Amino acid sequence: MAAASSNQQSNDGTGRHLDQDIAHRMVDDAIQAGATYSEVRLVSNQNTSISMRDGQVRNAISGLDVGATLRCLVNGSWGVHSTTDLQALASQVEATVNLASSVAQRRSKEDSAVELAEIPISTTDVHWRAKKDIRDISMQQKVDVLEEFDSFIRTDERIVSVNTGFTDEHIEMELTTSEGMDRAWSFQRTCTNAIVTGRDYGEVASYRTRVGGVGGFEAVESVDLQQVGSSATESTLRILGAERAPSGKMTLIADPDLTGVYIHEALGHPCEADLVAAGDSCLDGKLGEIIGNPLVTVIDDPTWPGGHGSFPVDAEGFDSKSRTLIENGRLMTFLNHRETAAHFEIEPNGAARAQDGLHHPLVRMSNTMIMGGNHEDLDDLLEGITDGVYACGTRGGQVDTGRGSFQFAAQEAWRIRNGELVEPLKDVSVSGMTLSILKNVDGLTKHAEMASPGFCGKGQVVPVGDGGPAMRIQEALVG
Amino acid sequence: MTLMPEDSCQRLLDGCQQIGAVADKSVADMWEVFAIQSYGAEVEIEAGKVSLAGGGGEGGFGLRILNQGKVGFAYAANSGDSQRLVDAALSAASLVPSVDGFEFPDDEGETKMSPMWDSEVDNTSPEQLMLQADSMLSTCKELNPIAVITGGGISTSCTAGALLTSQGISTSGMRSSHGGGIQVTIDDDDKLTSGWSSMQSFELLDDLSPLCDEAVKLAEVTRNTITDNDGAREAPVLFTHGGIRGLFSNVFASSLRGEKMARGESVWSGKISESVFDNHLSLHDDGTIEGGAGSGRRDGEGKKTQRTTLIEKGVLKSGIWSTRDAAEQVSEGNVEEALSTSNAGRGGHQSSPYTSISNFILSSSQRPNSRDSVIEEMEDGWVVHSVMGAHTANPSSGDFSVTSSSILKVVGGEIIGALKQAGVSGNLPKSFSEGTSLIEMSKPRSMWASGSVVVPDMLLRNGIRINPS
Repeated sequence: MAAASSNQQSNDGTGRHLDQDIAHRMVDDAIQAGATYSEVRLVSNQNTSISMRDGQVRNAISGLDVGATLRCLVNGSWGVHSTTDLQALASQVEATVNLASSVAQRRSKEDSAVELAEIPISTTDVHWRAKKDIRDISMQQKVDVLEEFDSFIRTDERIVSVNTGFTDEHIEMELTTSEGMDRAWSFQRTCTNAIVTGRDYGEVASYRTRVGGVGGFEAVESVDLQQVGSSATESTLRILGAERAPSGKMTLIADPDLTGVYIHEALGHPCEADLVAAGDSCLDGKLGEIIGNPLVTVIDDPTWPGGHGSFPVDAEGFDSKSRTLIENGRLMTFLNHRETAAHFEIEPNGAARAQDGLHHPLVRMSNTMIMGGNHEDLDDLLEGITDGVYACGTRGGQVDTGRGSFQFAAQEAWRIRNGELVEPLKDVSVSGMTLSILKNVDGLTKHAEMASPGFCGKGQVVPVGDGGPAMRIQEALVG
Repeated sequence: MTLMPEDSCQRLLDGCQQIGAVADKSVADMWEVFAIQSYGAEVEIEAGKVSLAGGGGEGGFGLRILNQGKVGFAYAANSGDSQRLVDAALSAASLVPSVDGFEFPDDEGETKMSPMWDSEVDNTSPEQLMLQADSMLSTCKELNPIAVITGGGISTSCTAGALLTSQGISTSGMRSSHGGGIQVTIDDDDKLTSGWSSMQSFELLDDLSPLCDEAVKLAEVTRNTITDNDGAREAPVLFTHGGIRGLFSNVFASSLRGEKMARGESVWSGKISESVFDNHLSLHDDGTIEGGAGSGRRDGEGKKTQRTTLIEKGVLKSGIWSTRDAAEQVSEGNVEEALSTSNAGRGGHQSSPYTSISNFILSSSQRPNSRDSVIEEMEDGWVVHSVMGAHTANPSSGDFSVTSSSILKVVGGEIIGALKQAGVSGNLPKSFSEGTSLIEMSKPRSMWASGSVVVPDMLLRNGIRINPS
């Protein structure tokens, strides 16, 4: 289904938005003005957004957003200027250098200056080609997808409303740096989603589903929307009749969707090196230590084919690559960008991402996964559980990285009694402490998969993927 | 040097005119052009120091057209390619079904309101923001020598906006904003606790030290945790405004959207004139409050802002509506009658108008209680300062199951300590239906600083389940 693969690179450029002579002059001027490093990064996003309500189109919007950011490092401190007015950017070089200089002047002797880890200086363009370029697909074809999706969902009179959406993006990025980096890269991302509301005897329930990822129209077209739609309807109706979840510490089995959110919130965020450097991570000082059950291996992989969080090159020009965060329970590295790689004296691993051209890069996850374990299947995990909860799907989560506490919520669940799934439950949430719950994972099915596309907020919103196998946790705080 | 060029509003209106002229020549029956231009400056704080300073600007034009009852929308960064913009909006409209009776609003005037513009914000330099950041870093150290601002920052922004429509609305204005938010951690003996605070105003905030006071206090009050082995149980819970605001907003702002009520998507669908809140509670949406975060002279469709009674003494009176939602739901036969309540919002020039709250104000006909008297009266219960996962609450049912690491245990009318972590769950509409007490605001901030959901601290006695870790 996916187009996102490092094997699909090509060097035929798509043309630049920024005049390269001007871009080079800007970064050179910044160096002349006192910067030790400077860059101009541009992001262009050509997108479509369609929303439909009960089979009727409400909005069909196509747009083009272009923004650029000038970033200057002066005496170990950053100054930035971001704008949609590309013509005006060159006039901001001196002011941006001066800003960075002001930041540097107030740094105390105890505080370390920003340094940048060395990465390969590339002038190679990378374009992940979609099988079906979304720019070649008409608005009507995209509407047709939603109409079909809607029809698969509204199959029961208790379904009172269905809101569906289709989004696609053709993203082009350009980076010119004072170190000689000069490259462009591009890729596409396509998704469809539904929010289903059911009503029965005064009870109301809703269920959300989303499919797609990095790729062109094929990222949605190749999905069995009938199965996704039917499943959403069934889940909505099941939640309508479900009991509220019990509260207490118990054995929890999470499906791949929920496992993904768990690993994103509980481990992924505390592994972001900018948070660690800020003193806001419970994993500070734990590199190389055993922090989880030896069953647990976690990767973050921006090259995952079709992953919602995939990208060919990070925001600092580093070719994307898979990173192993935890290997058999041991913390192997932090996700980092050039600044934090230098700070921790670790190998750069290309985790710099920005929401768009108007934001500067932060350390972010891409596609985060727990790898499969030794249990054959769900039945194998269920065996021996006298009382527990099997939770599926996600309504999102949140983490306090410093304390290491997290919360995530499931869309639906079942009570487990004597190894069997019995009554359905609703409103299940799970919370815990990162450093204890990773050790309480005691079972993973062999098959791991990327789950539903998601979004992550950390001041800036970026698309992410996550997933894993079905996972069993002992002593999880449920409800 | 100022952030905002002097002629910004006129330039935006000129651009709107240019696009409107092209729309007039096309087959569009009605059109509205919305334009916005923002400039800002920011200073980031990380790991106890100023880590970055920056600035920038963005803006563009959004065009909505109505053609034979069909709505289309398109946007562009500038007004130079007006024909393409009009064509794109018309093309989008061709995909949308016609809505009987839908028209863009006529000009009915605007609410008289003081400008939400402070030229001092416009004149504030990044250097001045850095001085404020320095001051906050010092204040936190003075309050607690081991308190560190691990993240956050201070920013200013100045925004010019304009709306021009075929129905005679021509309006423009400027708005300024100054605010900050910080996270403070106290890491002592490997026991780390955190506190957060944020505030914002359209006026220049001379003193940001209240942020430090609140964040440091929250980090301090949750230290020295106690254990609770009594298991999950229902109990009275005093939520601070920071503890309840996210849940309140996520559940009730959605439940009260007229379109959701009409389509059966809201927990309150079909409950107009029924009792839904405790009988002393009222909830209003008010876009006319001076200085309110969601206030303005007009809403996103150009209608004069208003105050709408949503819940009066516990009884559900109305939902919130935009012009389009109201016309659609009447046209589809889901309601007999619906009119705009001036609740059309805009998410920038890239977004077509949508129904959203202006300022949600929760009030009580009872005299507010003091926080101390409520804690004393509850005898055994909990105080929740913040929750994680408010966004995971189910807006259709009102069910929620969240987590708090800022929860204090009350025994015998006294706070005896903090839990490391606890689950907090329940059904919000049910908890607001009886057994509620609002608490007087001890340190009232400006309406703006409270955000567009203005709720005081409150005691909820009904149906909140606490699940200690």
